[in-house]
Order: sequence, then structure tokens, then C-alpha cells
Amino acid sequence: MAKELYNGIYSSHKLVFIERIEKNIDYYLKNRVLEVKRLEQELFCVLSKSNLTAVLKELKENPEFDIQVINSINLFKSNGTYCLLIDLSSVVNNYSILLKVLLNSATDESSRQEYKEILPAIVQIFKAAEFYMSRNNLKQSYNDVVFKNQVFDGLDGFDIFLSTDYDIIKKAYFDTTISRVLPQNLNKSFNLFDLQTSVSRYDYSAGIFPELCLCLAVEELLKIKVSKRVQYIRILLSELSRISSHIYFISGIAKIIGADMAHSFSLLEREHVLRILETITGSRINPNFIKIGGIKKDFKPETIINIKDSLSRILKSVYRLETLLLDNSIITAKLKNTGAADKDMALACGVTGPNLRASGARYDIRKNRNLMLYKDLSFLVAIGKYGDCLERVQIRFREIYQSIKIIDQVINDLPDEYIKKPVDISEIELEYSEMISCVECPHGVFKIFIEMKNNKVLNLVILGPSKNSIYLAEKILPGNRVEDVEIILASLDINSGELMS
Amino acid sequence: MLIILKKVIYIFLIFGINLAVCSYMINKISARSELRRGFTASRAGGLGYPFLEISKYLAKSYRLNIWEIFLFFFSFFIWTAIPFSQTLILIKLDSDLVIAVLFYIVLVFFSLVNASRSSYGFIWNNFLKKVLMMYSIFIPILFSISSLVLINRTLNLREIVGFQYQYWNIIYQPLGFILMFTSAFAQFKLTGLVRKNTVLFSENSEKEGAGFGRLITRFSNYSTLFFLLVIIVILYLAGWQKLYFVNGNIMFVLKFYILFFIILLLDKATPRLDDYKYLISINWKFLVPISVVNFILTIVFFILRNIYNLI
Repeated sequence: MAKELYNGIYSSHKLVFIERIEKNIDYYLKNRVLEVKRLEQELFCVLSKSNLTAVLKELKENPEFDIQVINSINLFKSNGTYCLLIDLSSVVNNYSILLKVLLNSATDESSRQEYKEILPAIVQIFKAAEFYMSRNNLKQSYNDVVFKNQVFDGLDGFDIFLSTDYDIIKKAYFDTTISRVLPQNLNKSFNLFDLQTSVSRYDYSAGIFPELCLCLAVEELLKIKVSKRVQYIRILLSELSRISSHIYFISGIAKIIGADMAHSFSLLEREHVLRILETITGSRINPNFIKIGGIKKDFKPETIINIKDSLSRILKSVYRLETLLLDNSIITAKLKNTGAADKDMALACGVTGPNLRASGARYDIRKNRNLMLYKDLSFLVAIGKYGDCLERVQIRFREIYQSIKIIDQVINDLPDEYIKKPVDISEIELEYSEMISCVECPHGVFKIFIEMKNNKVLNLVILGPSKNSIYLAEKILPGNRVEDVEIILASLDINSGELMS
Repeated sequence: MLIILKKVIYIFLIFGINLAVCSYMINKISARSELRRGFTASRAGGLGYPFLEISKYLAKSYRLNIWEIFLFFFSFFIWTAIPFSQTLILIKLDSDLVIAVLFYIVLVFFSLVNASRSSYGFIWNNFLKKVLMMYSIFIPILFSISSLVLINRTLNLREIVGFQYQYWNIIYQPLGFILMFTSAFAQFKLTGLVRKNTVLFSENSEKEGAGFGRLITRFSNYSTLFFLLVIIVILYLAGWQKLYFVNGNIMFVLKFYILFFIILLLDKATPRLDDYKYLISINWKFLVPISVVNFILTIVFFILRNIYNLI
């Protein structure tokens, strides 16, 4: 069955579902939408500015669509016209849709003005959109306690403004202007060849995921089918970097709590995982290993034996680390009931990944979508109940165990195939086309919207999960103590690389 | 005069050697428990490292204020009323236990005042919380000392040691020993010899002085911990009483280092304890009630035995 699914004889049931929603959009919103497309597993709509509120209302209130979550709003320029990119998703119906709204303005300043005018209308329908409004008035009113960027380790993409009553936080405001960079300045050039090497900088703790996301998008555009061995190696690498990222997260938590032994043990374990990654890819942080239509090079059979040996050791030591950290009543007393986010709040903020799963929603792209060959492998999606800091740490531990399980399966049934050379980028010929692709990175759902012509990338919009985590932090900080700010922010696993967009 | 000078030199020697050995133990054990090698700066297993550290502090430029100077002198004054053996004591008093406790309160007061110099309201508020923590830990200590005094019926530390020639006080007061030890451990976690001082380093500010000022604060931290351990050894573990054929002084040193080693291991096993809420809860929900119960039990025992002659 799995083999036939892979060869495309049977289409996945998830794809059938998206086709039905596409037909519904065609039926309900025929007059208001300019264009509806299905880009692999995501839906894409183009509409004009005047129809926006009507379309949003229909999408929210119609039970066929049932969209509650707004993930992000981005302003960008495509083909000379200014556009608004709105990312919406429905956890109940298990699909997501990208709206491209064409604006009327011609210059930078007028487009910003238009952006400000549109947002209040969106806020009336989706309340979470208020995070994208300009809120300088909050900065002046909430200034009892100010944490500038770089006060906390690894959280250097934003300033925090709090208004407090003694040591209880009343209101919180996060200012992310410091990390607002134009993509033209961030990436040297938009040539695909250069972009492939530099895209991994968006995620410093697991650099393989942005690369993977970009390659999946371009492969989908070129209609390339990669071999099973390549798919398995990609899964292996992404699970390894998920483990390394989660262990890095745990080391950060241990450092804040002051558990020295757990801190140094976890860093040592991360070293073991990174060493495996290094033997395969040749690099620890920015692998630059996954290429369009394949991988950089195949690895030798000795490395598989090496991975097998170290996997059992990693499992044993992660278990030891868990007992060392979470069997301590002082630590659990500190983590329990701090920064609790219930399911509705997490969904409304558009949070994805382990943070959402900790508060009780079963949403994992690896299971819910037709992502790579995850359907061949058996693993569980770890979910929590209360969504407090303790649950968020426990979820990471359980995900590490599941990742180890996946790697074990991948190594055992890795097919012995010849790997073709990756596609020569200079020979790519494409018409103007758009593509969306997403992967489940350790922080949440990492999504890329890309516009290409030949081998030139016209637009690259990164829709990372960390922005939503910051919005969630704004919501859950009130009611907690000022001393707990650092541990709550660390438990949300905010990656400041993704904020740069 | 010469005899007093000789005693002063002895006490200084004991203090200095202890300082070197304990700082060596702290660094080495904390490094080993984190799977690190420890210091590699000097040869011979890093034995000279404490002296190197002191010279490093002295080499830097420093700025002193009046509280730090008070701290420096009081961390030495504290040892005037403490006996190290039957004869090795600077000032012989009838009730030196009271003097010792008072000295200790003054020392903690100076270290806190030194830490809490700030013109910012929020930081001042945080420091006040830490002052409260330090002083609320005092309540169980005072309760357990007073119940011990009821049993031994003296305020003289040498007489208390003499009282334990047959049975140690830990047999009469097991709860009191546990309370004293836990309180000493909490103080140790607060003053922080292994990590940075949590009283001086909070989440909002850092000030531990440089150069000589830093040396002084380190001295006072060590001094407070040594004092608490010595008091515990004297009160509960029979001080310099000899055990069978083992010399009393050796027993004193052995007990001191075993307690110190246990405290170090406990410190590595527990996370940083600067959480006001948690510390206050363990103090008021565990230490204080048990110390009160212990005190009441001792009073009942005392009345039954000494007034009604029933036991």
C-alpha cells in the first residue's frame, strides 16, 4: 500500500479533502475572488482590497471553511504592485489558505498608509490581527519595567515593556522593531544558488529546516520526484536536528533554573547529536546539504553503524537527563502553573508546534499533511493538557523519544538505491509562478511563500512560528511574576532568526 | 599578652587553611559533578589555585565603601567568642553562645546593607525580599538553639561540649539538628559560594565590587558558612570530644569537613534557590512549625524531668 501511495496511484485522503474545499471556495466566493489555486497542499487566493472584509467574514462564519486562526500578515511588493499576504488556517478542518490582497498604492509610504487603514477592519473579524498594528502608544504607557534586547540569553530580537503592580505583571508589550530587516538587505542576492546557502540562517538551532522548505517548494514547481533513499535521508537529518534543537532548549531552561548538572549534561548530549550531523553533512549549524532534486552526497555504510551505536546511548542519556531535571520537586514547583496557556488562547494566537500541542491541540504537520515520507513511519504525536511551562518541557522530552523512534525505523529500512545528481540550477527554466511549502520545524510550522522566474527568486516571504509565540507571550505574561518572565519566554522556544523579515 | 597573640595567630592559621582547602574543594567538586576537569591554571592538581585567585583579586583596581570595611572587620570579630578547643578561645565568657549569635546577626545585617544600596525602587524591593528571607531563616535556628539550651542548662559553648562527653546532643535533639542543617544549607544557597551571590546578583543588577572589595565579600561569605558549620558541630556533634582513641581535634576537623562535603553535594543536586515564594513557603510551612513543635516537646520533657521529677 505504501509503495503504491508513493508512486502516486492512490491520492492521499488529505489531498481529496483540500480539493473539496477548493471547490467550495469557487462556489461561495466566485464573484469576490480573482483567482483560486491549489499549490500542492495549500490553497492560494488572489483578491482585491475592496472584497477583503466580505471574504474574511465568509471564511470565518461559513461552517464549510470554519477558519479561526490568523497566522501572519505581511506587506510585500510583487511585480511592481504592493500586496498583503494573509495566512489563515483551520485546525478543525485541517487546511490552511494564503490570501494575496492587491493594494492600490504605488509608493512605499502610501502602501504603509493603506496597510494601517486595512488592519482595523481585519481586527474586527480576527482579534489576533491587533498584533500587526502599530502600537507605539503602548510603549509609552507600559514602562514600569523595561527589559531591553540581549538582557536574556538567546532572546535578542525584541524589547519588553511591562506595567506592574508590585511584582505581578498587569500588561505586557513586545517591541520587535529591532529585528525588522528588509529581505533585500538580509540576503545578498535573490539568485537561487546564493539563497540556498544563506536560507539556513533563519533558524540557528536547526538550520536544515529552512533549506528543506525551500528545496521542497522548488521541487514542487519543477515537478521533480526524488527517490525514496533521498527522502529517508532528509527525514533522518531533520529528526536529528530536531533532537539537537530540543536538547538545546532544555539546556537553556536548566541554565535559567540554575540546575548546573542538567545544563552541562544536556550540552554534552547535544554535542553527540551534532557530531552525527557533522559526519553526514560536514557542518554543525548551517549544513547546506539538501539540494534541489537530491542531496549533496550520499553517506557511507559505516556511518549507519555509527548512528546505530550512538542512538541507544543518546536515548539512555536523554532519559537520565529527564530524571535529573524533572524528578526534582524544586524545579517542578517552579515550572508548574507558570505561564499557562489554554487551548483556545493558543489557537487564537496562531501558535503551532510543541507550544500548541502542550496546551492540548493535536496538530502536527507530519501527521496532518502529506509531508515527505512520514506516512510510512509509525510515531506518536505527544500532546499535553494544561499548557504550562512544565508541560512544554515534558513535550520536548517526549518528542525526542519519538524522533529517536523515527530514526531507528529510517536506518533499518533505508533502501539501497543510486542517488541521482541534484538539478543544475543555472539550467532551470520557469515561467512566473508561486509556491508555498511548509515543514514542521522544532519551533512550529515553518512556511515559505516564494515567487520565481527561471532561476531567479522574485520574492521570498518567511512565515515563521516565533512571531505567534511572542504574541502568545504577550497574552500569558499578565498575572505572572516579573521573576518568571525569563523562564516563560525560554519555555516558548522563540527563535530570533525567524523574526527578521 | 603573648598568649593572646599566639591564640590570634593560631585562629588566623586555622581560618586561612580552611579557606584554601574549602575553596579548593568547592571548585573541584563542582567541576567534577558537571563532568568538567576543573582548573588547569596551576600544577599539582590546582592546589595553589586559591592563592592565585586572591592575588588576581588584589591586582585589580578597587573602590571601597564604609559597609564593606565593617564587613571585613566583623567577619574576623565573629571568631573571638567561638572556642576551637578547651583552651583555644580569645575571650572567655560565661554566655558566649548569645554573643556568637548576636555577632552573626550583625554580620548578615552588614552584608545585606552592603548589597542593598540602590536608588531604584524596584531593585530595592527585590533586595528587601532577600533581607526578609535571610532573617526569616533565623527563626528556626533560634528556636532550635533555645530548646538545646533548655536541655544542657547553660549558655557557655565549652560547657555544652563538656556536657556531651557520653552522648552527643544529636541523640537528644535529632529534629533540631535537621532544622539547623537545613537553615545553614539555605543560607549557603543564598550567599552562594559555588555560583554568584544571589543576594548581590539579582535578575536586575550586578554588583559585587572588583579587586579588594570582591575579596572582602568572598571572605565574609566563607566566614558566615564556617561559623554556622562550627556552631552545628559544637552544639550537636560534641565539638572536640574524643571518640574512643581518636584525638578530639582531629574529630573536630573530620566532622566539619564531612558536613561541608554533604552541603556541597546537596548544593550540586538542587537548582538555584533565589525564588522568594518558594523559600518563604518552605520556611513558614516546614521549618518554623517543626521548630516550634520541637521546642514545645523539649519544654514538656524539661518540666516533667526537672520540676516534677517524673522521668
